[in-house]
Amino acid sequence: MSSSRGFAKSIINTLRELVSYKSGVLGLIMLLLLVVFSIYTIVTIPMDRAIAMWRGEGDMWIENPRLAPPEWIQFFVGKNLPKTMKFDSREISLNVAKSSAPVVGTNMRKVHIEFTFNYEYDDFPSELNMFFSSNFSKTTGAPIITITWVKPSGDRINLGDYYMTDNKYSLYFVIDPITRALVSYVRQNYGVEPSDLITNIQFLFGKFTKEALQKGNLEVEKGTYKVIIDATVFGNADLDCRMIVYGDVYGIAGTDHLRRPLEIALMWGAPVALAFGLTASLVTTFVEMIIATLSGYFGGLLDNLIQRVTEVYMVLPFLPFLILISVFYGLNIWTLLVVVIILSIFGPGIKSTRALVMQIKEYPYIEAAKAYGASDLRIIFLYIIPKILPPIVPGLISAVPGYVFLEAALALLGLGDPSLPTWGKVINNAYEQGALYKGYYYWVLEPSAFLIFTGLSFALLGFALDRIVNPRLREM
Amino acid sequence: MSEDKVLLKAEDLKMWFEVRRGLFAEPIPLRAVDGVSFDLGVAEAVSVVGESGSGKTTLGKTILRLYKPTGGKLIFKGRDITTLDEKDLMWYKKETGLVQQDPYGAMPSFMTIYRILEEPLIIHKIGSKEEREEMVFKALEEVRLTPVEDFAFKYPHMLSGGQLQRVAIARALILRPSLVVADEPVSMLDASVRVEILTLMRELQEKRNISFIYITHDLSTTRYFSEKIFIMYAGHLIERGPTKSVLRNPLHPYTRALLSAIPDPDPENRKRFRDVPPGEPPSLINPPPGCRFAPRCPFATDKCKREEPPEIEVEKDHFVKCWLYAFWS
Amino acid sequence: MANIVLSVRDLYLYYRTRKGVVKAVDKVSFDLKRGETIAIVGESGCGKTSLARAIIRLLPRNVEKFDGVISLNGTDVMKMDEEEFRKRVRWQKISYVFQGSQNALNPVIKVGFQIAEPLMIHKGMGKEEALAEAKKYLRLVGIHESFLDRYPFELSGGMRQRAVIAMALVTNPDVVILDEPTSALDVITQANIINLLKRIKQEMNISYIFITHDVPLTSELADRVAVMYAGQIVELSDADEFYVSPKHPYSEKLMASVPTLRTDKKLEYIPGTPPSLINPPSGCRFHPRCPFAYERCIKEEPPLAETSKGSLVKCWLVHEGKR
Repeated sequence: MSSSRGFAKSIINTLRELVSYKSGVLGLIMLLLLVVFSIYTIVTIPMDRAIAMWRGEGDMWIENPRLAPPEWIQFFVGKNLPKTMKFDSREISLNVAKSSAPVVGTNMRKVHIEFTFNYEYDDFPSELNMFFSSNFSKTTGAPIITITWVKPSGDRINLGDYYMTDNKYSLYFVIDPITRALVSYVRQNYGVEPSDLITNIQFLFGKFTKEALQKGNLEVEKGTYKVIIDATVFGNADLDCRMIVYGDVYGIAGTDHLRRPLEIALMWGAPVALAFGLTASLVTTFVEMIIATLSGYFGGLLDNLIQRVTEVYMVLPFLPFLILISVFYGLNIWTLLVVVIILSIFGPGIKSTRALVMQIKEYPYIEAAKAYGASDLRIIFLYIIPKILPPIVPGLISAVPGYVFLEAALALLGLGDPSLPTWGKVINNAYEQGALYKGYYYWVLEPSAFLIFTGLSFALLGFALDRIVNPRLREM
Repeated sequence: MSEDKVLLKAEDLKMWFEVRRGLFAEPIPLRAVDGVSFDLGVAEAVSVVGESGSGKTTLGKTILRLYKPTGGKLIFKGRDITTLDEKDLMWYKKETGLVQQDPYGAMPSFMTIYRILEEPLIIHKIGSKEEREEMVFKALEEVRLTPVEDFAFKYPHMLSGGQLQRVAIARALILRPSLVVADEPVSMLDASVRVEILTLMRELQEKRNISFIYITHDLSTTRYFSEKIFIMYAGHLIERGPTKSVLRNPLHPYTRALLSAIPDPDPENRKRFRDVPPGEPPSLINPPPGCRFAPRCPFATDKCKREEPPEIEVEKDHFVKCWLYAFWS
Repeated sequence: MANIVLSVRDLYLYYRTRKGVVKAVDKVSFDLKRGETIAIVGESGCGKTSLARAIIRLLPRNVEKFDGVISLNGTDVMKMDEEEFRKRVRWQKISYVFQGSQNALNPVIKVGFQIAEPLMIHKGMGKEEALAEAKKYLRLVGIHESFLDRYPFELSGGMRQRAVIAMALVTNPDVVILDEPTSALDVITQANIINLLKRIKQEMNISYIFITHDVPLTSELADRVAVMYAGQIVELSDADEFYVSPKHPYSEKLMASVPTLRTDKKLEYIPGTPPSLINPPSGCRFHPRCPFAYERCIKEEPPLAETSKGSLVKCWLVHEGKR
């Protein structure tokens, strides 16, 4: 009559006891944070959008700096690190000026765009790109663009002429023609041969002194910069330019080598980790419990069979199998979950649960049940399993981080679900790009921190639950 | 005893267990119950007395068919139940009840008292939900656990040992059995509570005309509880008869030893030694040949050590298995 | 007074638990003469095992209060610190026979060595010498000396209990505390063990503190009987008085509830439930279950006072001569 009421009461009692342990409180808070975080993520970025964003169709992330650490890093570095600045000739503002006028007597027009900005950062930008768009038709002719770079010092550098090869044309300022233009300007106006070490960006934003130019250690020149774009267009075509001066830092989590904001993967990693870890652990524990109970209760041939199968399972190498399956068949996250479960259900948990069942089988109340006619199945499900459930729960909770790390490890090895943005995947990308060698520590540390947080929360919870359930571990 | 008054009949009942001494050794039998014969009447209360290792508990469980006898016959209400399979025994489970020694171990800790008492009814598909509720409450009343609403929704750990044993009795009786086996029902309870529980069991037994098998090692309680006594030693029923007869006139040397070993509260006890045989009961795996008590018996003869004695009726309904009474037959 | 070997005065032992403070031993006092046996009898939860543990100072971690005077041969041992008590008192002067031999015997160490161990630890004997002593005691308790080299599982229940008794006697203590020494044994084996204890008492003039719930069994050894209820001694009488006419209503009801083999009597049981040691009843702790209780019993706790016959009883009715 009241077994469901009793069950609810026992959960409340357990919770009450849980909060009396510091580890329990901490674990619970951490888990709650994770759950809230996951729900928030799923609500704000639905799964298909997340996958699409992570795939990064076309130029989705082109305006993000590449491999940029998070913005808050500047508090540790102490410098005012440059953020990305965007200028668009379609949005006239104080920084943007555009005018166009036809050339009399021809079908040409001259379009004049000026970008003006103050550069006060302590460091060089990471990149500079210009994206031109023009609605010209191939028959009338492509526009010709001339770019002039004006530095605060007054240097006016002609960066060359460029032809738009298509209606959308991207000009990356790392290319050779720009390098040549910069080097020859320095040779002519400063009379020195600039060091090979100087990048284009350093030329564009650096303070020109003879010494610095030779040695290659230019300082950042702060002040007002002007970028002048003179374009000649044919016919009735118009021309627009979008200039991105890429910062060194981006957002709350930084970007990866494909310019993707890491926060997407960091956010989405949470529900994936939780769902994967909890589902794997729940299903595995549940199936293991049933197998162990059948094995321990019935004994004999069935017990023998199950135990031998379990022992074989325990000896087989789990991870290599998983890798094999993944290499041959490819895995998405759901298939991975099913495979992991299948490979785990005859695990070592069976041994300990079976021992428990064999003990409980001898309890007087089981004998009493047989005396009043309870069937074996009834005894297993209504008399034995409710008794073994409490000791199993801490194990269930403590097993979750194992599965979370497993998924991350597989992703790290490149064998996980390739389309899903997870923490493991981020570490995988970082590893493939040699992040630690190149100094992109944030790329590795951020997903690792999330993994550790998740593992810690379940470990603490499991630890506290174990103390509650196992009276021998209790403090007096 | 006339046949229609016999509820349960045991004929040379044997319950042997296979014991394996080592990994590759041959299994050898543990002869827990080794040829026991008796009649149990309708509404008759019998005490089965023996020490640990005497086989009394195994006898009780075999009678309930928790074990399948390895030899002999067990006949209940005229039906041979010796070899019936589990599935054919559901009717017998309704006819019998069990009260165990450990009140806390005998109850599932995660069920309420109500649920515990309801279980047998549910299993045997008795009554509707409302009818079962009535039956459970009535059962609690019968064992004097009132107010019933209070006790019904408590969990076992909230009750005392004595109270839980009442629940066990209620559970054993709820299917209205004809036979109840109580295995050391009060030995884990406090002295002051024992009498209460034994009295309750006796009252219910008389009121409901139930046959009772009361298994105990405490001879002192038997006269308050049962009309007949069975004395067990090393798997054998060595003496049986009316309680008064056996206690007043113990025939078997073992029975005599038992009686002389039990102290009554007498201040003179400390001034004298008790005359008891040395040693301990034999192992049931390799029992000695002949009479099992011979190694300890002060009156043992060569014949006792060679041949197992037959059962001899010495006074009315008072039987003993001992060569000392051979000339009686 | 020279032959009083142990004197306990105002002994307190309280435990701290989640539900409150358990007053297991609540101001207990008694004397034990040399060669005398005192039985401490009571039901489970009355505090008798706590009393025994308090005397030999085997205390758990959650002790709230442990106070009083325990004089051994005139010396107050309560004043000793743990180390001194361990060296000089525990097992030297007072030893303990545990309930259930399996609690006292290490299953992986040979029996002879376990009996010899107290000699090596407390008396500083060498191994050879200690084992020779152990052999002597094995003989004393009726175990063949070949069992010196056996493991506990090779001994029967009765023999294990004898070994535990040997272990307790081997340092020749003044007092042996017997805590339910025969509860796990068969009736006949029990009688044999009790015979052994009687013989040892006579031969070695040892004082026993015999703790049990089995009232008839106490008459086998007890010269005096102390009845414990709710952490207190409610009656302390000579055996000759006690078994014939117990004074305290609880003692009387206890005796009436015990079935006897040889006499026909009407069995009675004690109504009500055992008292809580956390929140014992006011006044006389037995008053809720006592058929004779009146207002004074509910309000005031009676003292443990001496009657004309030399018994000590904690009851207003006896004190006022109404019983």
